Amino acid sequence: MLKKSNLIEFWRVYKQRKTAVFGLAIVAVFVLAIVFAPYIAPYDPSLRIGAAFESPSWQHLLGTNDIGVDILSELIYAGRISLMVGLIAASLVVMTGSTVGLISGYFGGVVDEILMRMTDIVLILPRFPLMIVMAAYLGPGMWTIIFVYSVVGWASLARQVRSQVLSVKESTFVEASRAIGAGNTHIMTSHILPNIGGIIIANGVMEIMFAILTEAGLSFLGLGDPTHKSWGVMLYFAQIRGAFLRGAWWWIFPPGLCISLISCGFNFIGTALNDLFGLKLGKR
Amino acid sequence: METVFRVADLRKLFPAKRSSLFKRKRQFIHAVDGVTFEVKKGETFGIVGESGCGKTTLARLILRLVEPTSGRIFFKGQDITSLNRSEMKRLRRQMQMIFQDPYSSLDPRKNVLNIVAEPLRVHNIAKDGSIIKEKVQESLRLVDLPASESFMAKIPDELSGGERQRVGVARVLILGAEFIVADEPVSMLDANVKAGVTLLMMELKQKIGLTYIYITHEISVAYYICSRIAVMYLGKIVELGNAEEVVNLPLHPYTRLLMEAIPPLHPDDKWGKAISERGELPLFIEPPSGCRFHPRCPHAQDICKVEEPEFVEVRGGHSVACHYKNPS
Amino acid sequence: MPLLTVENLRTYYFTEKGPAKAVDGVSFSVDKGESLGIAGESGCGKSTVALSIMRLIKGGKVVQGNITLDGTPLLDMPIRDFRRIRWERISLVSQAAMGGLNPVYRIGDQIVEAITTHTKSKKAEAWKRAEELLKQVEIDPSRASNYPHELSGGMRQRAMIAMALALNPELVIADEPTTALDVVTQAQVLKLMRGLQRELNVSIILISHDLSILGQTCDRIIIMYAGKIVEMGDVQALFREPRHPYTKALLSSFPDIKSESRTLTVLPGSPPDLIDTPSGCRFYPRCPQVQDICKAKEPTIIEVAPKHYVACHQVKGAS
Repeated sequence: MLKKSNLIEFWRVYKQRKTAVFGLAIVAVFVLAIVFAPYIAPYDPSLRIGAAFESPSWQHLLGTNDIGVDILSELIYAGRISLMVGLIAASLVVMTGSTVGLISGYFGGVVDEILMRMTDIVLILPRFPLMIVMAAYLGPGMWTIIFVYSVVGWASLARQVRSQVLSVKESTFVEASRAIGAGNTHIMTSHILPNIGGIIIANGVMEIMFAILTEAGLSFLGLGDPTHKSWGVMLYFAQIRGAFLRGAWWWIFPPGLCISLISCGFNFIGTALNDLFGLKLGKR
Repeated sequence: METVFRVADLRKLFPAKRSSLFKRKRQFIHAVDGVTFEVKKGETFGIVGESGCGKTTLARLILRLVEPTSGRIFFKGQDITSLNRSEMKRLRRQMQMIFQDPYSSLDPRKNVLNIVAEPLRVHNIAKDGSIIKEKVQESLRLVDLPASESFMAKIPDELSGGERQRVGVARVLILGAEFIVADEPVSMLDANVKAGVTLLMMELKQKIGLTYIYITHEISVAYYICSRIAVMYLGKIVELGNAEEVVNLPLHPYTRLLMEAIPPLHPDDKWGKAISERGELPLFIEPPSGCRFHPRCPHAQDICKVEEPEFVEVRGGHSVACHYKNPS
Repeated sequence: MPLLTVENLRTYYFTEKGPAKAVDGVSFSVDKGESLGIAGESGCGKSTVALSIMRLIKGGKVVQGNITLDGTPLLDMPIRDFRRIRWERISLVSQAAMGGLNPVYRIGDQIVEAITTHTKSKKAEAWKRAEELLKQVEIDPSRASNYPHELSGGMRQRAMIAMALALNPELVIADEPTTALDVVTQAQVLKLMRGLQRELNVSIILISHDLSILGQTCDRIIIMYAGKIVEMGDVQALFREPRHPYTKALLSSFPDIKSESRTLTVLPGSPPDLIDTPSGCRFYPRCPQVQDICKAKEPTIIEVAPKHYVACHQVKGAS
């Protein structure tokens, strides 16, 4: 499945969508900047090396914050946290959601009923308020955010995976596999998973986007980790330390812009993947 | 000749959706309603009928892909009706199925090698990659497909309908199964390709010594390939006998109707003259009382509405279930 | 004068690797009240011919050709005017092209819609006409208020025929009208079509891969291969004495229940790539009678017997 020729073909179709390539480019730029942070960031973000609230200059391209830390450096390192939280939270959601969807869809019956009722409950509850309440209770922090996001976010993916599993389960090739004598495990791993993989990946990418946005939102409300600054936490500090009042736009826009851009990037990639895999499923 | 396979009074009922919330009595669709026949080693036993007659369900019952509601299934003398999953799994190495739709019976994400090799993996027969490849190549050669690396790397999308069906056959043969249920194996193929796969199946039968149960609505193909034919109508077998006799000297009025309806290959003014009725094959939830065919039968008598006819041998090997015993 | 003439039709589909020459130089005509069959394997271009006549080609284009209806050229007509031809004078019965019946509307409503979009009839009038049409196709008119899924396969097919006849067209094109039907239902539908055709003096083009049904329901038949016509003629003559090697091969690949012998022959290989067409005769790679000239030069269609045309170097023309 992961043959070289498949990947080449995949890339050929993928790059026909300009938005998809654009999205990939954005994400790639961010990832590179984040990975090479120590080489790119002009200063160490834990050091106060400038005056407070300095507006952008050649020395400090994005100015400084209230305690004199270089914002550009802070921004680059904050990207690490934002992206990491996004990736971990999205992975947890994808793993939980897919497993629930797979088991529910494949086995049906009582198991399906129970799991789907649980899914319904999670879907009905208002996500954001619930996350805020839980995070407030558990205390602010990076892992808190990852935890509350995962608890609330797996349900929608579970439903989607389940409906895909239901349709694949009825395919003739699955029946053929049973006729050969294959058991449930073999069918699930060998036939069902590869055929729903596309949906999972496409949704997974969108989940990264949602996770990053959610983390930004929760952190802005003060539920993030002040010692591990993400872009959302930067905005939180910008707010409580008076950047808004002082008009220190160089502290406010950059984190906001980064959040928006990277979300856009993942969105474009996810949408393109959704289309591509949807096409493949419908193709004869 | 020994009997390789036998079913006795096989029945499958499916619950029907209740037409109103208030109907108490549970209604059932009698998909297969008391089918009995046996298949001898080396023969091609045809089961012929139109859609809705139950032949597809019967195909799945034979291999226990669907569990019978009642009745017994015997394979090589052994009662397999209630075997558990692991016992059935062992048996499945000897009894296999070829499916109708070449476009959905192969996993779109697997290549030819993995598709044909799947039975080997499922039954843990070969672990070594090169042995697996060898066996796959043998199988591919049997079905007249190239045993090359490039062909084995293809995925279903890159194959034609005929090639896909042949891959399906290769998959079935790799474990050495000798008893094969073919469910409309060529009905979705084009004329020429159809002929190709049909001839292949016959060749394989000679070469390997296969026994087929061939299920189809295409009577001309069944006539060509089968030694005996059973005609199904609404879940029951109404006529059974040698292919030549059933097609050329049909006893049951339904069989006669079918034979009249088949367009001969060459223009024939007489075709279709007997097709005057409007009735179509209904999906009866509760089948009509008496003989199921009586609403459409030109020879229906009073007894036909009340009493189901028994399946009786009229000539050597030729049996029919009909009250109207046509002396011809 | 024939009702429909098709001259040198070429319809190509656009693919990444170049144009696929689905129909590549096809000419024929249909007389008033005649039933013409077009036979061939899938991919030979027969459906494309139908879609070209109806100007419903998607993903491709008619790159050359003249199609006239009663002398009026159709291909260059502005689409606004052609819409009136479509369904009023030529209609199409096809599972694939028109998607069959819409499952969310009653069949009566669908026939009524066909009528009211083309004529100024009021709904009540149109409904009456719909009931009449259903009676003509031997469906109880009370079923007009049923949804498609409440009808059997055969009835749905007949409802589509009713819809195609709604505006009294002069030509009906039926593309594989009985493929999904059982043998008895198929016989009923074909008999019905033949009967209606004679009664209403409608011309029919019947497209199918199944030679046996064409043999029973058509007056003339065209055999297509890889976008070209290889043989064309009277149904009796063609079946009795097929001339083109492909026609012969095709006929002998059908198991005939009425024949004495149980022989079946298979033509090896598969139809050629429509993008990279071979030079010379398109059939030469599979032809049992191939000669050198066949690889070099494309054969032209010649009349080898009255009204019997063949495109083959090996067949001597009528003098």
